[in-house]
Amino acid sequence: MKPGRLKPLDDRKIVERVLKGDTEAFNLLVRQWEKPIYSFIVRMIGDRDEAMDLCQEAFMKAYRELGTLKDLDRFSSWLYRIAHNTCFSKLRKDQGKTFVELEPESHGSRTPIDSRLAVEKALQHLPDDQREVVVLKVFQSLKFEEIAAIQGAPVSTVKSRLYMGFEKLRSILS
Amino acid sequence: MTHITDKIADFVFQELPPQELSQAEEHIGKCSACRKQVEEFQATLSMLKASPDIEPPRKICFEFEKPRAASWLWRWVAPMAASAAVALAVVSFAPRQVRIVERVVEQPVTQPTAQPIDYQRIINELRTSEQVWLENELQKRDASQGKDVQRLRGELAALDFYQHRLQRETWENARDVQLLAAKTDPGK
Repeated sequence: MKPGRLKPLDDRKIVERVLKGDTEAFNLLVRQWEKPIYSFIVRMIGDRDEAMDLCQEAFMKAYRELGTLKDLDRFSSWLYRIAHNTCFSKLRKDQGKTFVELEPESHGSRTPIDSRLAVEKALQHLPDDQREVVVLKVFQSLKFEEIAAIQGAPVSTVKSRLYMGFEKLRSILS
Repeated sequence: MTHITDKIADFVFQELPPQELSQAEEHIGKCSACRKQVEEFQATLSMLKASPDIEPPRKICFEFEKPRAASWLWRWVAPMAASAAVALAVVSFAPRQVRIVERVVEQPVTQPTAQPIDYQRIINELRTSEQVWLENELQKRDASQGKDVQRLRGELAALDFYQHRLQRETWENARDVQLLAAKTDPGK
């Protein structure tokens, strides 16, 4: 199964168990979603340790607010929305800070690690909204409608963010 | 001819309805400008996809504190307190708090590490166990042999006793025979 692909049936059953008082079942949701959520956050933030903390924070919020989830079949979209809010709250706090680039430009044949570093670095050059659309679409395989719901924006806006993001990434990576 | 510039992402990510998809495919086959755009989009997507997924450095696991069972005193006090609360018409909607104790579990190292085999220790252990077994067997044999020796000695002693008695009886019989012979011999 691709990361981010929705599993409404399984998630719904687990969410129902948690809401009925089986709090331990929440760890099943964590186990199921921690990797895609962490991958999403780390690509948004660019710092792995920070991303881990934010990932935990997102799951903590999800547990506390689980009672407010209206459509139990849309748990994953709701969880991504929480991760989105957590990331953007952090990005707003960090606005104005300058970051030192750790890796020099690499040329020649790329190993998977080189590719990942190059892509991570290139992603950090995109505006937050565009970066989020690229990450959710390319790495998390979400539908445009789902991304629109997470960003609280029309589908057309989401698509134009993706085109602009791809255009910039193409010029950086190629 | 309608270009598919605004549908390239839907086309590449296969989110076009079937009818529109076949129209787009047909158009891309004919229009070099749209084909170039699709190729560039796919090339960027391939570059991004070459970046592998990122594993979290550790696992998240939440521990939930269970609510404590009510004590026997509280079972008596609670109904009275409830009655008092009703009498005072004070209703409190305090949210139920569940304390979450967060715990981060380090990812276990799954790669097995090769342990060198201590052959000398195994040989020593075998030797020791063999030695113990042999000593036990010898002790058992000695113990059974001791019993046999004792039994044989007893039998020998008994035989010796019977032999002496027979000898004595034989001598007595021989003496009696000589006496009888002397009495009955008219020549003497």
